[in-house]
Amino acid sequence: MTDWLTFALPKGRPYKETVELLRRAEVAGPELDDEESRSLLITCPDKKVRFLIARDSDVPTYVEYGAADLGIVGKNVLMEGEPKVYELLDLNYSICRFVLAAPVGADPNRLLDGTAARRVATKYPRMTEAYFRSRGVQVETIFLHGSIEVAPKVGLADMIVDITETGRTLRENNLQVIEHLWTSSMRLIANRASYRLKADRIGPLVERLRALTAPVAQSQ
Amino acid sequence: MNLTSTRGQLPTGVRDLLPWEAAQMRRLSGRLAELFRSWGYREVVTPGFEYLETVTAGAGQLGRREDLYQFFDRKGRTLALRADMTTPIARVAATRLGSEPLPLRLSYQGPVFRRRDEKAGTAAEIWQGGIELIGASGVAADAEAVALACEALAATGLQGFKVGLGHVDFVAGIFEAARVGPELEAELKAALVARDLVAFEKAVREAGLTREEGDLLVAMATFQGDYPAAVRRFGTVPNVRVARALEQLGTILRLLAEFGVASQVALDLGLARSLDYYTGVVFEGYAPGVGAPILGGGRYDGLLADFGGDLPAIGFALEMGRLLAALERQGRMPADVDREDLIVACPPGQEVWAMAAARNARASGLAVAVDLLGRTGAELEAYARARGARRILYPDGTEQFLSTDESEAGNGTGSVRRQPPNAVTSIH
Repeated sequence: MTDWLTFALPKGRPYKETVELLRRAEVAGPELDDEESRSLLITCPDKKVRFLIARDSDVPTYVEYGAADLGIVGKNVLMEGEPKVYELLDLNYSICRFVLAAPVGADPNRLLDGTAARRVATKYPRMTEAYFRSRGVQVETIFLHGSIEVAPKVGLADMIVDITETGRTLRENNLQVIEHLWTSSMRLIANRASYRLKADRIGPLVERLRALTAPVAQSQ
Repeated sequence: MNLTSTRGQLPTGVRDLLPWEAAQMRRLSGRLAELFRSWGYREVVTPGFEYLETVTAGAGQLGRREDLYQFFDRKGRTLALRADMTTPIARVAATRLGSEPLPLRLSYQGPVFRRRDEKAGTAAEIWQGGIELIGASGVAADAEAVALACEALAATGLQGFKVGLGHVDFVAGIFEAARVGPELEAELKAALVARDLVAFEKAVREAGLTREEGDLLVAMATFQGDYPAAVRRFGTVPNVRVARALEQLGTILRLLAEFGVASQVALDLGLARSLDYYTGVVFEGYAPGVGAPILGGGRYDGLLADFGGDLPAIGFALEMGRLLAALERQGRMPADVDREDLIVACPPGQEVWAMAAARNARASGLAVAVDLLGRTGAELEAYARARGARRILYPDGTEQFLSTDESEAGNGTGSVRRQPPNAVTSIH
């Protein structure tokens, strides 16, 4: 298997777009279906590539430990986990924003003036803490695995830090964006040893993906 | 199980080496010691802790201090566990070995200590083995260090490894040529160390450099190719440091071909290591399936001056734990390094015979254990099998040969007992 490449891909929302990109770049063959199947390990013998379908937060782990040579994962996951992997390329899709949000009508200045103990619910506790530390505001960070938007409604937290693509879920839960913290998009990551040992295969592949994902000039 | 008492537990980041692991480590370390000796390197042993000022010499601004285990001596001076081996050896070379002829060739093996975030799998006690070549500058010394690094990896039996070779001056020269200011340089260096090419490119594109300058920086960070390709891309860069570094790398690669290790070395022009004391060539070794470097090193011509002895130096350290993991993954570890060859039965009253028989057998080079628990029959056989021994010696002079086939062992037919042809037993 030394001349094969193993990719770790995240299941869920970005899956379809990921598969389309890999097919267009001729990295993946027809074996990799753009509908998620039950199979979590898909082999494309013609391309000498295997795809391992994993939870997004596990993708960097497979890559860091060398179970996968390459991975595709959101910057949000990389920022929270700080895995020891190489970040090779911004793939410029699945773009979403990290926002600080609070119930509509709440006064942002009062929430952040530090005069009262505030609680922030998030899936990203490390980054949330780093952000508030850098602002000099002391908050209590509450770690949740999902449904963050409900936390203010039920009195669990005063604010939330979460990612949003369109802002729809926030509006539906009567939340307003107080601040835009960071932007996230999908990234191509590599295992540190594979990057060297399989340079012959990874180098051209990066260039193909780069050509396909470069942002259209001045469109934004 | 009591989960709150730490009495029987280990802190995060450290581990025991059980007999079979310790035997593998000993074997690996023996091979390295032999190799280093054959290249003229002499081993030095330095203490596990030193004054904080010593441990942090040359470490630069990259936040090493919070990674140190620190404590105080009785006068209140701060001590720290050593976090690498190069710094203490630079101290020894500069302060204790002034009368030795140059160049000094020194080797070492031992643990270093780095405080880590509580994350599974990151070691706080790291076993390293390596060399320092002190008092020789120039490409021949560089080539010797890189070649020995390749030989060391090969001597362990590791397959498919690669050593990436770069040059601090190449990176610095490209920064100069692209008119990178100090603030941007720090940002770009951090991105190079982490190989965050997205952050690198973003910082470059947002810095207001010309298209050409930006392309040059990105080309350095992403370069993959052989020496002619490097010369084609960077040979025309109007910068002395770039030109000199390229020329040195070219000569080193030619010398490495003479050493017979050229195929294991690849140019890695964007290579930047987290330690700040490097001044010339830098290199890192990688093995399949191990996500972190198994070897790292480089030239550090300024470090000895920190200890009052101004000598050029180059060296490397192997990460023994990662190396063992890589070897195990490749199935390169002999399975039976901690077994005995022979078990001597010792029924009550036969102690004198047993001790003498064991002594004789040991004299012939066997690993021998006396069964001090007086076992007989199936029990003794089971003990011998558990210890991987193929033979049992009995007081009546007979020797039992145990089959190595596990399935046979179960039904009791896996052994033969007979008079031995040679006379390890005849002590009367």
